Amino acid sequence: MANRRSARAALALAALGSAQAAQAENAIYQGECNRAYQVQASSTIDKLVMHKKYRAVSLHRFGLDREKECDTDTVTHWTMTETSRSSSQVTFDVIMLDTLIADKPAPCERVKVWNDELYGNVTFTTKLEEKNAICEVFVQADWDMFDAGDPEWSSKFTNRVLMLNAGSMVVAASGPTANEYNSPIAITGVK
Amino acid sequence: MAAVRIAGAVLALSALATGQTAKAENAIYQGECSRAYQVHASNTVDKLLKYSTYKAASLQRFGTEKERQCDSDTLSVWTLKQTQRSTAEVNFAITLKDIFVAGNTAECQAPYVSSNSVYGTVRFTTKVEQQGELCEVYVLSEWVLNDPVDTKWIGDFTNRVVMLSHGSMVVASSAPSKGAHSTPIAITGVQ
Repeated sequence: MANRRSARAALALAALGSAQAAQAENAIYQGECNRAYQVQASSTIDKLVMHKKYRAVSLHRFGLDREKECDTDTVTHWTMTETSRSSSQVTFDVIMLDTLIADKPAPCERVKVWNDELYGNVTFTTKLEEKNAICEVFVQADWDMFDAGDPEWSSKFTNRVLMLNAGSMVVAASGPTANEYNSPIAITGVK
Repeated sequence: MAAVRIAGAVLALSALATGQTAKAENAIYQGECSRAYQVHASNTVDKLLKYSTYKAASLQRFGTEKERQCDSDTLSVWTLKQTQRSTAEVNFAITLKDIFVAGNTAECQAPYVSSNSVYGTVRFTTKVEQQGELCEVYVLSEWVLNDPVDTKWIGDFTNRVVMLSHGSMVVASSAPSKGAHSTPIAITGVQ
């Protein structure tokens, strides 16, 4: 069971790790490099990732036969709790819990919680990248995840974060294939 | 039960309707107006929304005492099925199902799916908007939702869409308040 869980989790995390938002939507500034350095200096990560707690959701189908038979999606519930904060980085403990929801009748289970969780941490930083004399400032998330049901499994991945208003954030996912899809991770601050 | 469900839906839709992304991240083009009209003419909405089915997820807490006691969130799974497609607009029928998950598992109910679904439609179009001397081209979504259990209830909201890579999209939500939060809607295409 743990292996199957880990395989699913690895697929989801790989999908999230390999994706980026189109164009420069994920940059908080794009333009002249001197100005970019000013933006990075003033828009420190503790101002951008302002909440101590975040909750998030993502939706996945991993391409398993069982999913097809039952029309099952996995809804992942992410809980992020701050562990450290400075002007250079903000780190959270992360817990991921999966709930499986099926559209077909019995023997398909309408709703089922996956009884083993992924846990780990994520660190947010701001980065400045130069491309052809144009500089981008963006928020980067570095994830380091483990599986409570399989101590041999771990996954590290890094991606850019799209900052929305009011402290919401989005991490893009890769494109769908014939039997698989992954929504972006939609993240909200919690007061 | 239905009253709670509907009150929750009203709050969630209200949060989505008032949310916008920061700056012009939700624009697919921002710049000189004659170019904007060219971008608008060539990037028709049927090219931007290329899938006939989309799935999405969002997460809400509405601020009820029960939610606080149970540390619970509502996870919404959205299914969008295309009903009409042209260069001017793409329309989908929506089914929205809610899953209630509690963090306080010892004292509160195990995850369950709402007994009634919300149905409706969403219409996607592209728009050009002039702001000063600059023009923006963006994707607009117009949502109409209703609840068959309470025919008096209707949820309408209009919002810009953030287009991500691979046909993924995001609809922003409003800021969290004490005890209440709402993620963006994270949307993925389905092949």
